[in-house]
This record gives sequence, C-alpha cells and structure tokens, in this order.
Amino acid sequence: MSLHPYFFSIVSVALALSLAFLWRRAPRSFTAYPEASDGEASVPSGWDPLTSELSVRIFNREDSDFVTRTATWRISQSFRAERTALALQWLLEVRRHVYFLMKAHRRAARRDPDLDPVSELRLGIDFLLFQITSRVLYLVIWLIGPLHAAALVGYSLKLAAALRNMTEDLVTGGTRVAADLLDNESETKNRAASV
Amino acid sequence: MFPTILWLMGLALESILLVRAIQGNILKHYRVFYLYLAGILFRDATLMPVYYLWPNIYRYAYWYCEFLAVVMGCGVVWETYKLALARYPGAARMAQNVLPFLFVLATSRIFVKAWNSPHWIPGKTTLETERDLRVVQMALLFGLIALIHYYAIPLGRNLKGIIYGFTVFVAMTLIHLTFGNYLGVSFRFLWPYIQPMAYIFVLMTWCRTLWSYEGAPELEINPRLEIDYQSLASVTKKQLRTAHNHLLKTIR
Amino acid sequence: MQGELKYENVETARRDLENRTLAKIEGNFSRLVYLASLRDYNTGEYNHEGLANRFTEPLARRAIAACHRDVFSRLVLCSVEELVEQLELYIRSNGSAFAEFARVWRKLQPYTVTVPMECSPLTARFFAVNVRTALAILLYRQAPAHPDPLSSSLRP
Repeated sequence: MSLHPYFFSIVSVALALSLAFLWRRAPRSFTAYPEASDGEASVPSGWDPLTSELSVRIFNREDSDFVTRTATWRISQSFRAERTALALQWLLEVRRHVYFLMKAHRRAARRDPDLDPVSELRLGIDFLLFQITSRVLYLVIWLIGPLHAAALVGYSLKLAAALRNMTEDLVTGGTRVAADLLDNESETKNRAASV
Repeated sequence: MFPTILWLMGLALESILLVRAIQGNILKHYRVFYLYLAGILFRDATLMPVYYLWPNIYRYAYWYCEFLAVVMGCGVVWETYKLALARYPGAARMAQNVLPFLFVLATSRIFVKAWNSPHWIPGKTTLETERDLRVVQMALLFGLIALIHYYAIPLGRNLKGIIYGFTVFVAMTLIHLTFGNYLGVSFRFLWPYIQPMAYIFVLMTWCRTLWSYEGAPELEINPRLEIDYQSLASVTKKQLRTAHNHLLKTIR
Repeated sequence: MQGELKYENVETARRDLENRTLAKIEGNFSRLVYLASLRDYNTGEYNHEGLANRFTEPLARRAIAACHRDVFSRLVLCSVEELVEQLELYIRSNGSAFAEFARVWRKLQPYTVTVPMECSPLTARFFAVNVRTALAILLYRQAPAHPDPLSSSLRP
C-alpha cells in the first residue's frame, strides 16, 4: 500500500500540533524569572557564580564516597537520592536560563530589520542541540544518578574522541596508502612508456 | 438530505460573516480574506442549483470553481503573513527567506511528478493538481505558524481565528483529496458528511473570532534594546555556547 | 557622615568586622549562625550597633551582608567531610548536649534560615541536604556500638 496517505496524515497531525502551540502558554516551571515580561525583554546577564561552582560539587564523587564510608546504607541511599534531585534541579535551572536567554533574543530580534536569517538559523540549531543534549542528560541522570551519569558522559566523550582519532588515522592512513598506490601505478606506467 | 442541510448552513454562515464584516467595519482590515469568502459564497450559491438541475456538468463546474478558490486561498495566506508580521520587520525578513524555500520545496513535487510521468496532464488530473496546490498552501501556513510560535508574535483574536480556521480547512481538504484518491469507495461514502461538517466548524470559528474587530495587541518598546542585531546575536550565541559547554564540563 | 557607599569603606567595615568579631568565633559554621542572627527576620536587614557606630548603618549592613555571603560560600562549597567537622566544632562550642541538639535541629531545621537573602533556591537546598547529612553522620557516630540501622536517616 502506498505511503502517501500516511505521509499526509503525519503532516496534518504535525500542523494540528503546531496550531496548539499558537495557543499554548509557557512551561510552568519557567514562568517566574526576574527579567522576563510580556513585552520586550533584554538579554539576561550571566550565571550566578555560586551555582556554577556548586554544579561541580553535585557531580563530584568525593561527598558520596565519604558518606558511603562513614554512614549507614540508609543515610547514603537518602543522600544519593537527594543529590540526584539536586542534579536534576540544577539541569532545570540551566535549561531555564537558556530558555529565557533565547526568548529575550527572539523578542529583540523580531523587531530588528537587520536580522540575519543565516545567524538566526545557526542559533536555532545551536538551541536545538542544547535542548537535545540537556534532555538526554536529564533522562540519564534520572535513571542512573549524577555520579554514574558523569562517568557515562565522560566515557562517551572519551569514546567519541577515540573514534574520531581512529577515523582521522584511517583517513590519513588510507590517503597515504592511496597515494602510495597512485605513485606505484604512475611509476609502472612511466616504466612501460620508457620501454 | 443531510448534506443539503449542511450546504445551506454553510451558505447562511458565510452570509452572516460577510454581513457582520460590513456592519462591524472589519472588512477594510482583512480585504483579501473577505474577498475570498465572498467568492466562496458566490461559488456555493451558484453550484447548488447546478448540482440539482444539471448534475452532468456539476463535476466540471466544481473543479473549475475549486481551482479558483485555491488560487484565492493563496491570497489569504499572503494576507495573513503581511498582517501578522507587519510590525516585526525582523520576523518578516526571516519569512522572506524561509517562504521561497518552502514554496520551492512544495512545488518541486509537482514538477518532479510532471517530469517523471508521461501521462501527466493538468486538466485530466485536477484532483492531484488541487492536492498539490493545497500542499503548497499547507507548507506556507506551516511556515507562518512556525514563525509566529518561534518569535512569539502576538496575534489578535481576528487573525488567530483566520489562521486557525483556514489551516483546519486546508488540512481537511488535503485529507479528503489524499485519502479519497487511495481508499476509494469506502472513504467517499463517509466523506460527504465529514468534510462539510468540518467546514461548518471552520465557519462557526470564524463567526466567533471575527464578530468584532480585534487587532494585534500593541507592545511597549523597551529602550534598552536599541542595540544592533549583530551584537545581540553575538551575545546570545556566546551565552548559549557557554551554557552548553558548562553543561558538559560540569558533568565530566 | 552620610556619604556614598564607596567600595573602600565597605571593605574597611568588613575587615573591621572580621578582625574584631569573626576572628574570635571558632569555625565557619559558628560564624554563619552568628551573622544570620544579626538579621531581622521581618525586614531582612542586618543590625550591629557597634559596627554602625564606627561606620554608618548602611555601611555596616553592606559589610555584614558581604561577610555573610562569604562565610556561606565557604561552607556550601566545602565537602561533606569538612562540614561534619565544622558542625562538630559548632556543637562543642555551643556546650549543649549532642542528643538534644540533634533532636532540636532535626525538628526545627534552623540551618535553613542561615542562608543569605540572595541565595538561589538550588544553593539553599544543597546546603540543607549537606547539613542534614552531616548531622545524620554525627548522630550515627554518637550512637552505641551496634546501632539499629533504621534509627539513622536523613529524615527529621
């Protein structure tokens, strides 16, 4: 059976969902923010430095290891659960900050006649990538806790780097091999020609 | 009998909309939309006697009128873009770049099909032609809705109603034209009821949202925002990258 | 003299507070509790007569607020192990019986009002969790040789 009806149905449903967005309100967790208003908004200033330093502690093993060593299983279990909740709250704070940053940008840009579509598209893509990353991280932290999430992310990034290096080596090696082959071929041709 | 009742209801609602537009002085604000509506009313009023008295020519009359309606519908889409983005030159600039892309994307399908099919004849496959034109309208509406959502463009009740109603109408027409072509008799048995009912729903929505004039709300301009776009984009990009890097570095 | 709140004057007032008062208090936790106690719970403003007499009242308030933020930052960013030591020091300097102290603190959670006004909810929550954990660890240490595992928990 042809896929065309399903394609058009998907498109229609997507449009219906988009219509729902026309009338939707802002996410509840993001409604209260000092700089945001219904009118134009300025671009929010930078981070609270304490929150930034705090985030390092949340994902650090040191405290968890100490509590596990010196307290009961119940205390350490409770501590880990609290740290997971804190990690998720921190992630929501980051997403909230970025959400209001982009909101302020869009509200400022929409009135600017010098808007550059290419820059806007790039920014949109960056924002989308951030959303995907943060949502994946949220899920991972929710599932396995901040410490294991940190280990997993660290491992994934190292693996990605290793794969990239391997690919670069392969490409370089492949290029070298191809170059050698080409050289051999041309040498053979030259010899044949001279004979 | 029931389809006839729906047809008459449609005529009545269209008339109410036009009368209300003149009474409430709304006509001058949405000229192309009301011209479209007047055209639809004229078409529906004309086709009704043709359907009952000369059924043999009804099919041809319908498709020619429908084609005109599709073309006028494109005018409605153009007007909604113009009105929605009138006070937002930045968003309008995005639309100027995105629209042609969407238009080319949607129309390329028509040309590809015409190129690949030796049997493609515009007059003979009118259903497919209308469907393809409706796809173009849908793509443009989708682009408009995406822009409105992305830039949080405030719309008044009137414009919201026009966009919402027209989008539902185009979507239902597209479903009709698509499934009717593939599912055949079983679908065509139900659709004479479903599509007119959906159209009545659209007309009632327009009656509700276009009963009186309500333009887009005025927003205060914040004097702090008198910075150029490049600086704004640069600051935003930097902060976004900082947030992204902070996210990954903290977790690592 | 009602003058501008110049940075140098606030810094001077702050150093004065640190040298004259805070230096005599042992441990950051004790300093935090002391600084928080200078705050009026109704207005959120700090009051210190001595400091206000030597400088001006607004200057004194700014200086106390700065010290409060500083001490709090040090405590919130330290490890749980260090916090346990700080809390233990505070309890000893208090002179109260540990069991009674732990009972009252678990019930009233007074450490929640020691956070500075401008502290974010995330930071305040992080601090509270750490203090609760430190308290639970101290309780566990104080318990008899074979404590009932169910009796030690982070819950009040």
